Amino acid sequence: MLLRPDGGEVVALERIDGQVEATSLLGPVRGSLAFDLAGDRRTLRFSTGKAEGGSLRLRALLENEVAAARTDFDGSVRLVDGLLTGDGALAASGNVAIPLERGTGM
Amino acid sequence: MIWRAAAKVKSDGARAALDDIQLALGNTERQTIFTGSGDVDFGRAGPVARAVLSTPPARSRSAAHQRGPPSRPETPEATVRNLVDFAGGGQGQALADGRPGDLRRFADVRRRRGAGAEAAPERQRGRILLAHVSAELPGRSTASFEGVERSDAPLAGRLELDARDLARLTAWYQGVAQRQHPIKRLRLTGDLRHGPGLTEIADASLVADEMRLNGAIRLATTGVRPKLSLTLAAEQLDIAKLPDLPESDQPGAWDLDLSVAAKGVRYAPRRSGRDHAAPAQGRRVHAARRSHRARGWTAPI
Repeated sequence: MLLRPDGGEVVALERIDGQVEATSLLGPVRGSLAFDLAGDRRTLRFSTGKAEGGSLRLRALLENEVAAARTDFDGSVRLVDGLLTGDGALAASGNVAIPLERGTGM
Repeated sequence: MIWRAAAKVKSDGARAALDDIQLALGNTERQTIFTGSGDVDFGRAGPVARAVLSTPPARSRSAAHQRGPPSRPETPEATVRNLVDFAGGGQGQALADGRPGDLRRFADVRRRRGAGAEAAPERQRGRILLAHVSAELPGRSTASFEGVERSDAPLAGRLELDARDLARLTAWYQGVAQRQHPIKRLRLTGDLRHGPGLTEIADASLVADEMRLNGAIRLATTGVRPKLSLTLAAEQLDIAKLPDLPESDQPGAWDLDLSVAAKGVRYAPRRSGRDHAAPAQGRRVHAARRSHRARGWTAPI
């Protein structure tokens, strides 16, 4: 579970499975994770550069195959007073279909 | 419907600014692209996302797209008749101006098309004091408007629309075979102001199945292209409820300004009838509580 600094719950991750590799504690780090979020299975792949000046280069891809949706981030992150800050490019895409059970008769 | 979104994001942990947003809805043949900016506020009460988006402005004032102001002011009778026309099927009926009695005859014509529409204007000293328009439409739908002529608008009043079977109503209105529609029931209420080249609905409440939106709707037809402006707020915005974009020989035939605020965004349809939406603030959701057929989910912002 991820928490906000004030203790409020932001998001709950369940059934986490994955692996993370790091050549040093300062990075680079790369890994992949699979987890349940709001009932759907998601996969997260990410890689970082080496931490420099408190900042970390980050590329991450979050996919939800069931919903045919993916979100990726390419930028940098840093911790400032316990808050995760970031600066980069965010992109998302998906394909929304009409539910199949909808009737079609006049 | 295929969608893509991209933005530059800058977050200080309490707020994320979204610049250069590009949102594309639809496939490449019928794609509408919005651009704009927004932000996400990670407040104590839960994150709230806001965005102001618009379609690119028209590049040229070609003759095909040229739309000037109406050649003459719309008379109150014409305004009421247009409302009846809208409620009654959209197939315009040529009637003489300035003859209130024609409204009843017009309504009778509409009743023969499978829908009943009535207007009961009261005139005093050349002004409409009360205009009541009501219609019973296919798809177990009803529409009503009750208002008065004002100095700043030919008609202003309360509009109520309840379409219990939006797919059937849409097919009937467009005169085409019924197709699937992402919204089953649509209810709209608001304060309507209707004048030459401009229709506004303030204090609008839009309920599309379980999705509720509040705000304002504005349609201006005096520019190069018709411009639809939506300022809406929702607890949860369901992209799956967005209808297919209207087909058009002229891509981008409309200008759209969209300002939305939401605590959560759902972007996949549910396959079961049960509401499995995760709360926007992302409280714990147990997989066991969800049907294995459920595909929709809410992205906690």
